[in-house]
Amino acid sequence: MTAQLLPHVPLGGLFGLLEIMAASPGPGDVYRLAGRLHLRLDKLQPLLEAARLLGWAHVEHGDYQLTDEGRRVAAAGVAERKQQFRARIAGLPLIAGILKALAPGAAVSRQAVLDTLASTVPAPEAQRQVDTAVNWGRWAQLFDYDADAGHFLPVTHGRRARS
Amino acid sequence: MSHHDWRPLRLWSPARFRQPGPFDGVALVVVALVVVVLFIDEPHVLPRTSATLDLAPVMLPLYAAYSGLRMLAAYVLSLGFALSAGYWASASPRDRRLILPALDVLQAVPILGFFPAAVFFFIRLAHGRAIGVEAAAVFLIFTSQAWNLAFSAYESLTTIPKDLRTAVRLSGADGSVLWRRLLLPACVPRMVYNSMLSWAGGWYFLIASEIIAIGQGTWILPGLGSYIGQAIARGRAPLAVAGLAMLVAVIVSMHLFVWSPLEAWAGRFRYETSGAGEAAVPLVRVLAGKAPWVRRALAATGQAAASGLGMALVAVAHALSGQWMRVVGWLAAAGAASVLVYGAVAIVEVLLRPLPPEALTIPTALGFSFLRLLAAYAISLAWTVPLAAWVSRSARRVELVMPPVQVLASIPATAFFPLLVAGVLRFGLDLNVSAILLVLTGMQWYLLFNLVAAAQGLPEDLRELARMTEARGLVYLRRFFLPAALPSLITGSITAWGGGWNALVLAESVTADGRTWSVDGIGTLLDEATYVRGDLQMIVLVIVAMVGAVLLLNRAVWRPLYGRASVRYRLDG
Amino acid sequence: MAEPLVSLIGAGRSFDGVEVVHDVTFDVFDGEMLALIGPSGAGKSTLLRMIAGLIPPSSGEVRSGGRVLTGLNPDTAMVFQSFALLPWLNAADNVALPLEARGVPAAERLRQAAHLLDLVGLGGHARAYPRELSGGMRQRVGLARALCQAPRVLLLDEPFSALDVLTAHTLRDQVVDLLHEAAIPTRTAVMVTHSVEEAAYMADRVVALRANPGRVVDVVTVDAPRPRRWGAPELVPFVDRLYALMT
Repeated sequence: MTAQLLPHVPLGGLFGLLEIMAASPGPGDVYRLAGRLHLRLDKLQPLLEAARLLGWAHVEHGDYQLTDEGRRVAAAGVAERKQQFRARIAGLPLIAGILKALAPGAAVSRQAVLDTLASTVPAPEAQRQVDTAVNWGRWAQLFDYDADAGHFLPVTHGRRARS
Repeated sequence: MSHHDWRPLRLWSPARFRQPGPFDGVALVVVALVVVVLFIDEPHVLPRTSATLDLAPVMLPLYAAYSGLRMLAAYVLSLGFALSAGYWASASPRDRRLILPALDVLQAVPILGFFPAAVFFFIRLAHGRAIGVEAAAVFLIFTSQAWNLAFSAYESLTTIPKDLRTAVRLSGADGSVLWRRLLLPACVPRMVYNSMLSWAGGWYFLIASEIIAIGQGTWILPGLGSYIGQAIARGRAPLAVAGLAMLVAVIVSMHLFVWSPLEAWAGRFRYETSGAGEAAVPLVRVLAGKAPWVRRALAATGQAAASGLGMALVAVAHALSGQWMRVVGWLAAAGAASVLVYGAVAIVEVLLRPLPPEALTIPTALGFSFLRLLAAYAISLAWTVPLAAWVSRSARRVELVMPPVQVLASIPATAFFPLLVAGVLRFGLDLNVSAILLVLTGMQWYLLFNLVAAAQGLPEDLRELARMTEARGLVYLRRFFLPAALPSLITGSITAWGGGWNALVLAESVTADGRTWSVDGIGTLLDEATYVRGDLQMIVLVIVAMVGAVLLLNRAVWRPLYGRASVRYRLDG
Repeated sequence: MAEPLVSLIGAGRSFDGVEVVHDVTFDVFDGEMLALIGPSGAGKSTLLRMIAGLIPPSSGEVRSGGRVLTGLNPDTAMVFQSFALLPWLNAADNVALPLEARGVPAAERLRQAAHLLDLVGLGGHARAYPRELSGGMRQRVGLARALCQAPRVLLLDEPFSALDVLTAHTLRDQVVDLLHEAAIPTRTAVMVTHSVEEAAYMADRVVALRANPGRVVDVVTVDAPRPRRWGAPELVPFVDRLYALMT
């Protein structure tokens, strides 16, 4: 089984793309979308990959189409976006693995998470995967990360309730 | 993506070039006056007492602790001085025009030449008690640590991105919040790196000060330097080797347990942290590999060192932001002013006296010394340039070469002086050989570090071009490496010559086997004037001649060269 | 019309004898988003810094809350193009810096910072260092820090210029939404931009400037209804008008 890798995209950019796609939700050509946004393909591709991975768009053979959920997310406010995002990423292998390791309530070292990736991806990509997992997990408020100590932490109670 | 100006750290703090201005002259006069004031009463030949040092090897840890404490005291002083001077210069454009040239001169002149002066001054201050010699040693080490730290503080403070400054100002932060949150953190990367260099320079001077003390007078400071010196003087070579081993152990463990972790910690205080740091060569990683317990131990000591440094810095910052600083500043200014007036009167008086016959020997002595420096410089170039060129061909070679070189360079060559002289005497070689070798130890590392920094900075494109055109050997040197490295070569040369003049003071006149061996030169003249005859006029004349020579070389040779090189061979243009 | 929050009255500024801003007059009213637009050299950033009290005018005056400004303007807070975050502090500490400067205890600072981070959509990122955040997220932290000062007028200095197109897109909406958010006291903003589309999309009024020295050409009221859509046809006349003014 090949590991499901996380695309390295800024989440602000992802939601920006969804909003713009919502104006013409498809089906449409990816190259036209790229042209309209003045976005190079190497920038757009990971964003589309992220939308696909989260089940918010179909991307196939150079065409794209927003899913119903994708449309809802594009129109939603921050709180609802976070909720949908959280539900989606909790099932991704890397995120799920971190959540499982955190379940007992103690901190989990970055190295331990890197070790789980060691057999499937080269070291620099493993580092980037963990960085992206940190970003996504924080935004979804599934877990927290202490960069000084290099530890994943269970999310602090009380803060999650605010979102 | 970054808009911040963050120039990469240099491997060795380079000399700074500014437009020459009237303040260079002012600064020189100020420095000269301070020297004279130190001698204001006729110096006496230091009393010969029969102080001895217990050479039992069990005493070594204690001596190491003594030496370390002297270093620590000088370092804390240097930090305080550096932050104050750096902050002062960054905050006041008017005063900056005097402070920077003064630091420049202080960095360029052979401080070791002032050591006898400092010894006299502090001993008299302490009414002949040993604490005076201790103070002199600490002062000497301070003079080797403070200037580059002050420059690094100044540079750190003036390169804080403008928006960041504005943002912090708009947030209303001032006083200790401003220092804790903006000014000190901004200083951390440069100051940590320069602290490492300062300690290397400090060891060199520490050992020298302890050994000089054995030279003619017999003020013995218990420490590693005096231990090694005494062991040689009494012909106990194995003990000298034991002392050296102890010294190397102390220095290597400082690199492992203090500097490496501190450098890693300092990384978080950089403005843009994507990618690896340019200057930091992770010695820890090389030596410790991936063994988890080693990592944990290093992380723990690093944390302790970082929090210690942090606490020291915060304490200094609180002091700096306190109201009483203003009062202290005024008192210091008033004191300095009165000392300067007193000194001005004195120097006129000294220089108005008829010239002694020995003064005529100064030019020839200067010439001999210069030739020695030239020889050592040539030898330095002969091995550092090819090594740096080899390193420049691939980025990985830097990581291979630098960790051991950094440790080697911080082992003070002064500790080996007595051994070296003993060897030269044993084999009946000319004493010029040992003098040149000793001067070499004071020159070569500056060149190497600057050249390696240039090698690191060689753009990958140029490297690939060299590989594809199969440029090797002299062609590679002439067409690729040397043009790219020329500015660094020149800054390295200036600091190297500065180090060379310093070493000269120690190199030309050495005591071994119970007598003094010397060769004709400016260092010998200074040594005799100070220790043998106590001749104030000659001391002043020799120091002024030496400082003049240094400044003349900088102004007439290095600065024009640098000006041309930096325009013609810029890589970032 | 009500009393303006900020007024520039014949304000000019020279640096080293060169006039950068010449005789500029405009008001900033409560609850509006005012955009300053113009080519480089039009003195946009200088004007913004004059409102912040960072740069005193060489001629004329700047009034805030009816009084002539003589130092830093306590009613304003600024968001920077370069984000201007302290890299050695985490998001919460960056946001809470104004509170720390006022001597607010640590626990209270953390509570308020967490709340503000939630407001800008960064709940859960209190512990994150700027280097761990994307450009858009860094700018959100910068926004939260400015809001921490509870300014009456938020000053935005080309806040989206350093961001990619898509990130800028979402963040623009969020800034507009925040100003209409009841949970924060800030309802008024002055934004420097060099994008005509951005000005028309976000602003209620646009001050069009011309360069060398910077001076006001016209003030355009953009009375298109909200919420607006990027590139919507009803914005086109305003975009046209602004381009016409500046070329």
